[in-house]
Amino acid sequence: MAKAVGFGISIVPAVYEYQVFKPGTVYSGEFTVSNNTESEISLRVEKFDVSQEQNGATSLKEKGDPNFSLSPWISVCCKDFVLKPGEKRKVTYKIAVPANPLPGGKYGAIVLVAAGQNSKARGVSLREGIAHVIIGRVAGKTDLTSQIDSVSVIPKINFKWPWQKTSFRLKVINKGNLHERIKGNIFIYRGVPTHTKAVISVNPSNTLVLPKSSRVYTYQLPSEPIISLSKKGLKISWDGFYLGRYHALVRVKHHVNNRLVTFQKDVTFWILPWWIIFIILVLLVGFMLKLHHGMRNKS
Amino acid sequence: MRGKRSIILILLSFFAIASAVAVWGTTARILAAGVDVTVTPNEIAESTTTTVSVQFIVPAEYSSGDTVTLTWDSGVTLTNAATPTTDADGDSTTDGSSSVSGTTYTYTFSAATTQASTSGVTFQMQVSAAKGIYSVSMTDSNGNYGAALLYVGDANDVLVTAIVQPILSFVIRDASDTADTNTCDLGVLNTSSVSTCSYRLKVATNAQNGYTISVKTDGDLRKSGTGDVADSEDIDPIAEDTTVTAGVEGYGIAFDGGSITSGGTVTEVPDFDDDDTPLVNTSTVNMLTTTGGNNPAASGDTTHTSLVTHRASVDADTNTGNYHQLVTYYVVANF
Repeated sequence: MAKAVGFGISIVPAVYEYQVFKPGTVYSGEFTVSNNTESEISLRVEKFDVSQEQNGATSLKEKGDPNFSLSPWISVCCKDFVLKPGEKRKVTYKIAVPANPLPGGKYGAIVLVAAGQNSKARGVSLREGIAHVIIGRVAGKTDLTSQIDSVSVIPKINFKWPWQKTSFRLKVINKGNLHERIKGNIFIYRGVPTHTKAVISVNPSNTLVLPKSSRVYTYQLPSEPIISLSKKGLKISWDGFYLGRYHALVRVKHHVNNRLVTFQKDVTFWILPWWIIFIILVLLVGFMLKLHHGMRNKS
Repeated sequence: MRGKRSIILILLSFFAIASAVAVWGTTARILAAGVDVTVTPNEIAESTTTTVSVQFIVPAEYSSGDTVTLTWDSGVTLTNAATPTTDADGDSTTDGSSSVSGTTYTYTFSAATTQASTSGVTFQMQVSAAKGIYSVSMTDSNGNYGAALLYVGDANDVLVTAIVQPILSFVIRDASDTADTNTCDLGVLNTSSVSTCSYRLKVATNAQNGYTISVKTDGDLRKSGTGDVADSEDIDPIAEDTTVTAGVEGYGIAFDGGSITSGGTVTEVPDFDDDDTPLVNTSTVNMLTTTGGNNPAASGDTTHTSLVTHRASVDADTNTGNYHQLVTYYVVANF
């Protein structure tokens, strides 16, 4: 199947981050919208505040937390416009930062909604809306403080490996007024920390935890097959073989009172696949029966 | 008797194996002993040659001819510092010289130290390694010993401002993903069956953190008025955690989030992840979020798209008329 390069309505960039908003300053921005369909599209501009759910989902709010609201400062070039088939257009906007804004993170979105069908038509009329997210922060007394609230392994004992995955779950709470980007690693080892078997990157794509929000990061223990077939032939690798008790040393950098600190926690987990235990038991019983049989023959 | 003995032997063997597995997993961990050794910085970027200092305080001063040996784990590429240490105790007098062989750093004192037992000694060297945890162990000719850990692969920056250029595309397609659509006609409703109509929400993005789809309506499925109208004017939205049933007035949607091409996870927001769901008209409600990008095929892709099925039923008391509703879907990138 041919892959779609772009379809429907496209916007780029979908997210834009400003370095800093200075009080009393007007900032200009723009994004590009494309009509990739074969029909003319009427677009209407809407503005939203943006918040974040624990699973990382972005929520559009007509009225968000006023401490972090950006939408009232945004003015867009145009209310409504039409895009011809295949047409691209730059949408410009201004962000007017008030003279005395509250310091900290500000989050908003400009959404273009396709006008679509007449809403009084019979049945259900459908419309597409696509968002350009704007992230910024107002200079001043910012407080970058987050907490690694919990670290857990699920399940603690995995009898169904590799069919059941072992997951590591980190919950981060942002208690400050600025977005946080945590970074770090989960070192998987057995016995001594220097026997590192695997390293899992925490937040490799630099996601944010918005102020007064929490976010849960979940990572899985890598489970490569022991035997795999590649172009180079049969490959046997013990990298994905786990049996027994392991440690996951979680080291994550975050901020407390604007200072970068390292959080460290060591959690243990077991990989005890039932099928390996079963094979061992079968071999053991076979061996014992053979031994028993030999003893009986002797007597 | 022999049978019993065999069973006992089997059980004992089993416990022996279980104990072996347990012991295998609980090997004692490294503990610095003798002297406290520190490595600064103790976390560095992977595969990047970095100058580190190994420092410790010993009980007594070193004399000429004494040696300190620092041995790094295999996997560490060790070289001497650009300016090799010659004043280990920092008293501004030369007290020795260093050499590196493989993963071993050796410092030989040519003069007595004056501050090794108070402020300690510091040795500089360059290390590079793949992601992991590595140890450096210290022994000296006076019998002192110790160890420290170096974490490789920790990111150094947290507060980074960045400009990202993710592209986001969105279209509503028919149920087989062959044509764009902006309608979903439930047809003529009757009391003997549930009427349905379906379409697909098709999103493409290179945004690494995925996207979220949310929904908002302009009101009930209604024949007149706006927003939340009187029961006589609408097809009643079903209660959450129920399904639309033939012969009972009710309206809701069934949702199947599908999957994404990047292999990330697709999470249907609770309420949308099971039975039929009423559509609220008071605010924008999240339906689905992903943890990775998506690049579905140009057409006919019923795997990497989300299927929405509107389901409606009427009873004998439902008023006749043309019922309508406007549903807006929003797509926003996660960050």
